[in-house]
Amino acid sequence: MGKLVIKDLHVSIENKEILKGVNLEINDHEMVALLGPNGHGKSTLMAAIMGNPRYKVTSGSITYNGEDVLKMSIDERSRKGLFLAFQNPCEIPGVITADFYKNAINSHNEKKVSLYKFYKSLENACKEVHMPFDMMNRMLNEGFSGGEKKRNEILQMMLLNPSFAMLDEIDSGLDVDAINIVSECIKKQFETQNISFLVISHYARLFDLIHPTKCFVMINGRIATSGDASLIEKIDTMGYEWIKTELGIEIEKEDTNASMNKVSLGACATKEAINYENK
Amino acid sequence: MKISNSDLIKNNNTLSIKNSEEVILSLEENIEEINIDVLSNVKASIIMTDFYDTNVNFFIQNNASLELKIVNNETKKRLNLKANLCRNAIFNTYFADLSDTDIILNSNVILYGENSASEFRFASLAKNNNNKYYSISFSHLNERTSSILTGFGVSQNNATIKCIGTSHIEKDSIKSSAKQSVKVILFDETSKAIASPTLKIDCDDIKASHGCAIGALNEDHLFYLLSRGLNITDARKLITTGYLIPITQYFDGDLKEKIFNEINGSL
Repeated sequence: MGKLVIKDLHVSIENKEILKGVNLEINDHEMVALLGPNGHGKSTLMAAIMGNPRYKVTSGSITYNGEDVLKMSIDERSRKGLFLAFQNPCEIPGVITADFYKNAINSHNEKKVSLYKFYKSLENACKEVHMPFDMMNRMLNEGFSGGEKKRNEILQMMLLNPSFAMLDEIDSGLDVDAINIVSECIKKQFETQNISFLVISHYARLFDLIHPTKCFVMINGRIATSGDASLIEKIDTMGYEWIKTELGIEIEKEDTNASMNKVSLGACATKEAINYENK
Repeated sequence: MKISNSDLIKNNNTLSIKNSEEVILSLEENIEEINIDVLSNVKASIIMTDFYDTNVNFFIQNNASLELKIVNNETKKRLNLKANLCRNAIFNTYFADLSDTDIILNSNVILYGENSASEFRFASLAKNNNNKYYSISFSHLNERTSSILTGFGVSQNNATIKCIGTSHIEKDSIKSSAKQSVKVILFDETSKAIASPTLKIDCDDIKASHGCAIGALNEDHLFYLLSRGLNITDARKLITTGYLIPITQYFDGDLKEKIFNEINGSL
């Protein structure tokens, strides 16, 4: 079981409202795409679901399997099966990757995993994402390339085996081979486990490989429209301008000066834009 | 080789290291001044675990290298280290300071010989009103000399960590490099830290960098760990021990295990 229901969700960061009434439902074992222009709230939605304290939920509800997610601590959400693959995974000096993973797995199980079983599953997961096993003895994400960090996120997903995985631009910074590796892992996880996916990407290539069956388009902090995979193809060929003519929604433009000056590759566009405005 | 008070007193408080070996300096009583010479081409290490209020002077001859590994015990103390490095000499200090006590440590390394190099790396855990003061300085007097200061600290329960780092690259010390990096986590609102990295440059054609970071636990790091299911206590512990654990790589055997256990048991 893994049904996520979001009703009229409003979320602010530093007193600026980003999500302005999001409604969506994702059912058990669904592969869902979340699209939208930069800075319209996609990453904010995922951060709010996972409980990032920087993002304040001002009203609305999120339930998972009927339970109130907003009442759960961050770690509780993880233990309930929610998982977020970060757009820009942080480097944590001094924290050895394997030690962290062992702690994370133990936190999901009542009985501590044996060292043998842990290393065996870690080794297998490394093979799946094509990462050298010895990288697990390095500090968490420190000195990892952009692609290695993204594959490391997928590796964690495979170790923790969540029931609802959110992937925030997991394909950004990946070369063609790495996209193939990551998409294979996503597909395998989807086919072999009872898991739902919510996937943000700006590129149809990833969606071509993982075959989402449902698509949401987020504009101005709300779900503007939804549909099947044909919506992805339409956006890939036509962009977002048709939203204005067909749905009558004026797409709020980013402050181009702010984005040109301040938004860097791999950064959350919304957060960076707000930081810039506040300066 | 184990060196005790009597060995030092017999030799006028002087230790001359003639062979490449590990020396364990174990003082039952305080000796105010100790002189240690490392002869040319010797590669040695010294482990210091018991000391009180001591001045230790090192002379590292041409092409010699010395690793000084210090573990602070539970006695309030003052330790002054002075080192002179000749050509191609190396002098590295690794200091695990996990004791529940005050300390004043001054280290002054003079990179006198061409191509000499020195590193000072410490991990400090200050707790229970401890005052821990470290003054680490390097003087670059010749070409192609290099110095590195790396410090990681955790301050909690009304304790204070103060680290003054000074690297002075004097004139004519071309192609030299100096790096300083000090990071301290303040575990609670009562703890304090002061870091002052200073570079004095009197020469062109050198490389120098310095930086310090003092603050509470990084919120993004915490969120990342919590999002994987760790509870707040385990997440804080993992990040904090992560600051201190890397120092263990410079120690071996029982001592390494002792430091490791002290770090894990202390938070």
